[in-house]
Amino acid sequence: MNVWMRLLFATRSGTIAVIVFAAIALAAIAAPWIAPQNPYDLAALDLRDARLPPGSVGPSGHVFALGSDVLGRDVLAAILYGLRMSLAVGVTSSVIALAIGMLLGLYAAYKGGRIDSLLMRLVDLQLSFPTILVALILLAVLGKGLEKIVLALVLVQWALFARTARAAALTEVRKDYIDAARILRLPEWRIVLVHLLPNCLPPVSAVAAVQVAHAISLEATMSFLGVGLPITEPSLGLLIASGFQYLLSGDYWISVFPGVALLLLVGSLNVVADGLRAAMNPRLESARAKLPPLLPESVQSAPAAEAALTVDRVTTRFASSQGLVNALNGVSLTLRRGEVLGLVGESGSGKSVLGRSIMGLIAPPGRIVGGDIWLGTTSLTALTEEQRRALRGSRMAMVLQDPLTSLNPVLRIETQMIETILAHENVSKEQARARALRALEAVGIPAPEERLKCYPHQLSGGMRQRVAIAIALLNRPDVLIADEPTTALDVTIQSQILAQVQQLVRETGTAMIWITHDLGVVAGLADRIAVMYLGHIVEIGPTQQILSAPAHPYTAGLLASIPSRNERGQPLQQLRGSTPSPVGLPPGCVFRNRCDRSSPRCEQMPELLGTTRQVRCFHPLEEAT
Amino acid sequence: MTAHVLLEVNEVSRTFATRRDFAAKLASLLGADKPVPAVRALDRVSLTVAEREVVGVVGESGCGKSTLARIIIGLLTPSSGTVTYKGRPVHAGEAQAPLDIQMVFQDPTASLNPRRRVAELLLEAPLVHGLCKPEEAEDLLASLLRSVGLDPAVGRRFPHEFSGGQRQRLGIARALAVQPQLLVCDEPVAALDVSVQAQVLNLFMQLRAERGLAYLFISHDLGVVRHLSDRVVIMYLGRVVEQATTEELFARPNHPYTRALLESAPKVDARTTFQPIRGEIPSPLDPPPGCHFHPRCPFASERCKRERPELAEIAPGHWSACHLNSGGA
Ligand SMILES: Nc1ncnc2c1ncn2[C@@H]1O[C@H](COP(=O)(O)OP(=O)(O)O)[C@@H](O)[C@H]1O
Ligand code: SF4
Ligand code: SF4
Ligand SMILES: [Mg+2]
Repeated sequence: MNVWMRLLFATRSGTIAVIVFAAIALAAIAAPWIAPQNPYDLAALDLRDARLPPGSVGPSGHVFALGSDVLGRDVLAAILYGLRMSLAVGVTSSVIALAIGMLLGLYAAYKGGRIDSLLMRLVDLQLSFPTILVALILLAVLGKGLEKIVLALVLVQWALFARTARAAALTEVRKDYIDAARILRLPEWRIVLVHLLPNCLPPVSAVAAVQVAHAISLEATMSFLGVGLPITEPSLGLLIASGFQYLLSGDYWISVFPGVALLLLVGSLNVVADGLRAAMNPRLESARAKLPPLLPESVQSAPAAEAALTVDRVTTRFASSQGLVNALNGVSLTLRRGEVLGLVGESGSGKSVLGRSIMGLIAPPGRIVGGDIWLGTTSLTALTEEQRRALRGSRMAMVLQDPLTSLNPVLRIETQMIETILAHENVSKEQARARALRALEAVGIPAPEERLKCYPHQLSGGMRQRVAIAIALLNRPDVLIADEPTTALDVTIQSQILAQVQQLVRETGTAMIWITHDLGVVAGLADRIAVMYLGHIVEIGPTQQILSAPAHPYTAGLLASIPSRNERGQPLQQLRGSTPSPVGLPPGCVFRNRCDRSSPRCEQMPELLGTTRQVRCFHPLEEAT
Repeated sequence: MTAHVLLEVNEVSRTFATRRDFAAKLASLLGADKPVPAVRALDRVSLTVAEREVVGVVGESGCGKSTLARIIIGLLTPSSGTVTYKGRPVHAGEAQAPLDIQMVFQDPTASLNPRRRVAELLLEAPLVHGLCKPEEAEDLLASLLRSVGLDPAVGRRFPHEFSGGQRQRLGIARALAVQPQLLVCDEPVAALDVSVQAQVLNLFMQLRAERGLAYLFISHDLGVVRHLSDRVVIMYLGRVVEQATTEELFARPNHPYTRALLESAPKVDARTTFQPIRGEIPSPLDPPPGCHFHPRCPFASERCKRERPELAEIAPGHWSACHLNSGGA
């Protein structure tokens, strides 16, 4: 089944709407065969049947389930024919408008410049008038008739499609695959139709569902007002209008039943459209997934008294549509006061999840399903969320790759820093400000007085990251977790920040985990290195030992592939294959499919052995110690 | 270098007008005649790439590397200066840049149309340009996939069914499909996992040997550039500051910025204490006068603040733009 459909059926209102809409649509299409009468065959009508209430049998012998109208017409039959016309007009006009609007919108986005701004002026102009007004004026000029109302509805709808398609295309044209098509000198029409269009279709088609509903109600309105379809055509709007004057005299059925039918059609279509839009938002999908189940409790082991941080067999999982993602599989490590641990591994190996697990920042659909984390001798897993929040920012802190995620864009740096201090400590505002100033100086920010008054967006990327680090260290936390904070920065700026951070944590005695994929960065920074692969720590030990004599085949492979360790211009030593998906891993050593040293033994999972020099491998290059 | 020159970039400059914000528009409406600020992304950049040569371009963010790539490939026109390929101008009026220059992108995912199958991705351009007959398409596809180390049977798959490294191989195969002679690579391994970077770098070297390709290889990673390139061009804020053969440049870096860059690069095999150069990278909107590097340069003098140092040949084939080389700063 199509993903959209599957998701549509995931909510109850969506299911009901789909069923209602499908029933109406089927009945409408089948109208000529299932309707109890052809209400537009005037010869078949009998004036003696006029205005009979629902359920009555007319003088002609016909049973009027929903009553009859002024002409003696069966209301049920008229509704079925009316629905058929409504759908035909709505769908036809929306599809034509979609085709025109989409082509114009895509071309404008692709060409940019004057063509684009001209078209968008036109679109804005049209959309600034109420559609109903535009439709009225158009029909007044065009006159009545089926083709005319379709034309009018196309003319009022194309602009919205053009705008939606252009918005979608603007994000797409910036993607490299469009540049690639240009560089391959493909013809323009081909780039727009073959490459751009299919990628812009999903958002536009969600709009289309709403537009069909909108066009249907517009047609009904126009016909009701007498400017839409001629009286000889079936239309819900005309039906409602014809019964309107009898409403007060009690003959409600002539207009109320067609009105209900119209409401059901338009209403169900709108809910379907909402469902489609929601289904295209992938975030909703993961929100609906069930949380991963907890592991059975295991015996707790008390943390070493002198450790700043103890991570004990932490397992973190995420629910996803593909299955459980095993992001962390029983990770253990300890950090001494003032120690810097470099945490390396490639993307998806679980570095960030480990950092967020320690900080207590794993949110659904993710969950720490087993293990313990100790900050000194405080068990973090035993705390309430409230208590954990109090610890964040005081005893532990985190810096992320994008400093804007941790800085508040609408507050001055000064305000943010003073608040951070005052939230955890009872000092005067002046004292707090003085400390903020010193903290900025300490991370190498020139003219800190001025910077204090800035807003985050007024600073460069490097400056922002320095501010984020200064804030993280304000309360001299026991533990700082830095998740790739310099990855996006230039090397000269990176090396400035590394130098300052190194000095700062030495002074404050803060233990730090520096997450990176760059072995060169941790080489100069870290006391120890932990290497992660697919949610496991495969090796951990003193920096120099790991870099000069790696024990795990994965670490060894990574180090051997670094260009500076290869002869210039010669083929680099390379690890074969690529990292498998963390969903549904086969049992055994996770590195098995890429490992040159594997043996049948490796179908079991090796333990992380050793104390100072730990390695998780049956055939390590260096023994664990 | 006696080999034929393939690509010649000659004194190319490119400025971008920044979009005026509302306040600026209002001000100009009210008569304040402030000029629209312009970013000088490239400032008289010259370089050449010879047949079969690999030229590395190194520099920090905003120094104009990607603008240079887009100009060479014909996606952008220079504000002044010329680019010639085999002696013919690349930006001559309506005539488009030659198919001979192709590009490999940084983001392997964004550079492949997610809704097209591998066969369509790779064969579209050769079929459109008549480089291959429909009945030969099958064979071409298989040989392209094989030459980038992929299984020739994956033609019906979609890009999302491949890993990052495999997607980058697909991007390379797509470029190879039109038989280019020059590949412009803009940070082609930066988005890849460390363990697959080496695989893709090896592929580049293998293709060079097999097909005699030339590369303009843009990267911020000095280790990668050093390994692959014959010559290296160092850029800072839109200008070329130094240019030399790879061996010469790494053995005898001349420009103070080059030296700072070499020192700042994280190294696995030297437990360096970080020795940073001072200062931020200035905004390209408002670069310092004279030598752009002077606010950060330990050797800067008065002259450096006023006068732009020109690129000068300081040893055979070694060019540097610093006043220290012309009778002191
Ligand atoms: N919010 C999330 N939802 C589902 N899976 C996630 C989420 N965050 C992380 N993961 C998965 O957890 C694993 C580890 O990811 P991560 O810690 O971000 O890796 P790293 O930081 O080493 O690049 C990956 O397979 C990733 O896809
Ligand atoms: S346990 Fe076996 S497969 Fe795993 S890394 Fe060690 S040798 Fe290789
Ligand atoms: S010209 Fe002056 S400021 Fe520029 S790099 Fe040379 S010495 Fe430094
Ligand atoms: Mg990460």
